[in-house]
Amino acid sequence: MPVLEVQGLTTHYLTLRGWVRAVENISFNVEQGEALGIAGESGCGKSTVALSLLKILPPGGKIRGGKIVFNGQDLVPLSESEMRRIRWKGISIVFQGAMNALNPVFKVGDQIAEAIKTHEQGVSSSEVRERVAKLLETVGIEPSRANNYPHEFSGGMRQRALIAMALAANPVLLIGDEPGTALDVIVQAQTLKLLRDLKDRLGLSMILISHDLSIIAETCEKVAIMYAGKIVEYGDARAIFKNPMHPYTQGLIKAFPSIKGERVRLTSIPGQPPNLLKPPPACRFNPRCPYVMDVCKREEPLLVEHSEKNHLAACHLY
Amino acid sequence: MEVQGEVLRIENLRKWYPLKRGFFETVFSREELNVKAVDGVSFSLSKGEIFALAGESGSGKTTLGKVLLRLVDPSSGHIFFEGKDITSLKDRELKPLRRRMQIVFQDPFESLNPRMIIKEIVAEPLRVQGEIEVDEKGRTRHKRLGEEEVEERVKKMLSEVELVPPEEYLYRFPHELSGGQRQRVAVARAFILDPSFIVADEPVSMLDVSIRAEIVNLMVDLVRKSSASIVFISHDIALAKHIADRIAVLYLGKMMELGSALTVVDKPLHPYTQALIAAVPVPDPDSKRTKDVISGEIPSPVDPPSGCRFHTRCPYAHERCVNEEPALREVEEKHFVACHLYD
Repeated sequence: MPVLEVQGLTTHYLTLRGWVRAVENISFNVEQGEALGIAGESGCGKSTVALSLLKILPPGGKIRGGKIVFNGQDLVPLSESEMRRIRWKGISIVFQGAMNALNPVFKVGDQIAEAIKTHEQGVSSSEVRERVAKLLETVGIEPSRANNYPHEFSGGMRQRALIAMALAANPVLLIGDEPGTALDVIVQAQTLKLLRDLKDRLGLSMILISHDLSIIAETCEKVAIMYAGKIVEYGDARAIFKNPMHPYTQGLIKAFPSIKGERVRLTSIPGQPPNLLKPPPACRFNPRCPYVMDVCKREEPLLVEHSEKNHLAACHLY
Repeated sequence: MEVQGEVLRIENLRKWYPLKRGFFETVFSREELNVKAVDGVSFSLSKGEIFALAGESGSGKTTLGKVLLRLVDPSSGHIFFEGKDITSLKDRELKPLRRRMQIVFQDPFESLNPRMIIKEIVAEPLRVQGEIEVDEKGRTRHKRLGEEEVEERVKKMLSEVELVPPEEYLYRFPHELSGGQRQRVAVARAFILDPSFIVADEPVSMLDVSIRAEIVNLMVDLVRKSSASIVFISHDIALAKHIADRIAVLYLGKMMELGSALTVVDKPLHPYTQALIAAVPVPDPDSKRTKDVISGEIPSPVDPPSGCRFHTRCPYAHERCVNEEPALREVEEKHFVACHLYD
């Protein structure tokens, strides 16, 4: 049974001008020990998905449909107090620019300890100290540094401290929202290596959200490509990168300058993402698609398997 | 001493920022602390060249970009622009040169005045600098431009950056445009005076990947058409590979490697460049990492390591590296490295 099963999730934001249809009818699974990458650009809804899973949407955000089945239980109808038992212990999250999320006036070790004490009752102080030390070790930080303040840690170390904090209550699923952004290339590579190690060693399931396809390619077994609130391509990472089916995926992969190979004139996808107050009819990519046909403007394509197993695309070309 | 076709040359440029310290430290400690952002960088830029400054945070690349335009004054060293030493020129003397030196900033949301319409943003350089006229006797005269001509020039520039039809954009405010469109406006503003030298500081890193190429290609095309030179600052070395003629790799305020873009990326010599390139992720799930990621992080620019700044993280570091700073030497044709491995 998958650790997480999302079925038909629909999340909108209520604004003065109407409902912004940020995420519409999204379905995906995460198996135990698997990393799912959710890729897409600004405004595609990927962060909204993360916030929906933990039910920490900002004011105005509302899950308007669908199910989030975590370990067999649907989270959507749960109350706040019930959700609090799931957060951190079942699913935890490391946000973008996390290095700045640490409280500057408390020692790092104390902040990690706080995560443990908040989510678990009756843990003795010595046990908490031991667990903090072990957590720091797990993320590659000297346990003695628990007594340092955040400003004594470098950016990469702070990011790792936050990962340690996210693991404090032994979650089953870790969500990383743009884990590479705001980090230098080398520190980013170190962080991704750490995440891969954690996945292998602890059997941790992960959802990595990023606009950077390369870091998803390196760390995830499964990928969901999002565009304008919908998943346009979904399946095995290798299959999608080797043989991208959806024109948006193709355009996106081509837009990344490759560090290997010859010099080429860089390509882009013309146009811009749509306004989600009033998205385009049927296929939301149709205004920018180089292969657009009449049917694309009338009928929304379904996300289904075509010729390859474990490789779904929502496109009328197939 | 001017080399023909050389637009810019810097010699041993340094920019140190003094650190403010607490009261007790000032009284009891003599040591002055400085953030050594740029610490002895030299290179020259030819006409029409696209020169990439690559590096991570703390490398000094952004500070260097500002110093080149004298938006920030250097602590020591020299800057020669079109053969003239501009290091210590006063603002009044710099002003006529400034029309030929321009900048495109990283943040399309902060670099445009939100209270100015697009027409005024792009026209501002024209209004500040006016037009230079050369009369029959070869004397230059400063001329203010008429309103009609300003509008014509703005419209022409907006068309060149593909904001068409230009009339539709003249009277809009920045918040009405997308990130990519605002960056086009920033490019228009930079190119309207037909500069010979532009500093582009991470011009696309805040834009979605799928629209970066448009802006980058636009800048490259404009540069090639006008044979302006551009210093392209980027932490994205993969991007630099595809658009730059040469790449300089900076680390903690010093230049570690300099060469043609393809050579530096495909055949890096400096261990730092090698580590940097090995760390760049590739959108291919099958590509295995050939090298392990190096450990550690960039040390503080306040107290950089002795000798070679990279020695604390270098897999090949030996005793000489701790004590002696390697000089930037030409190791292959037009390929410079600062590393004792190649001495």
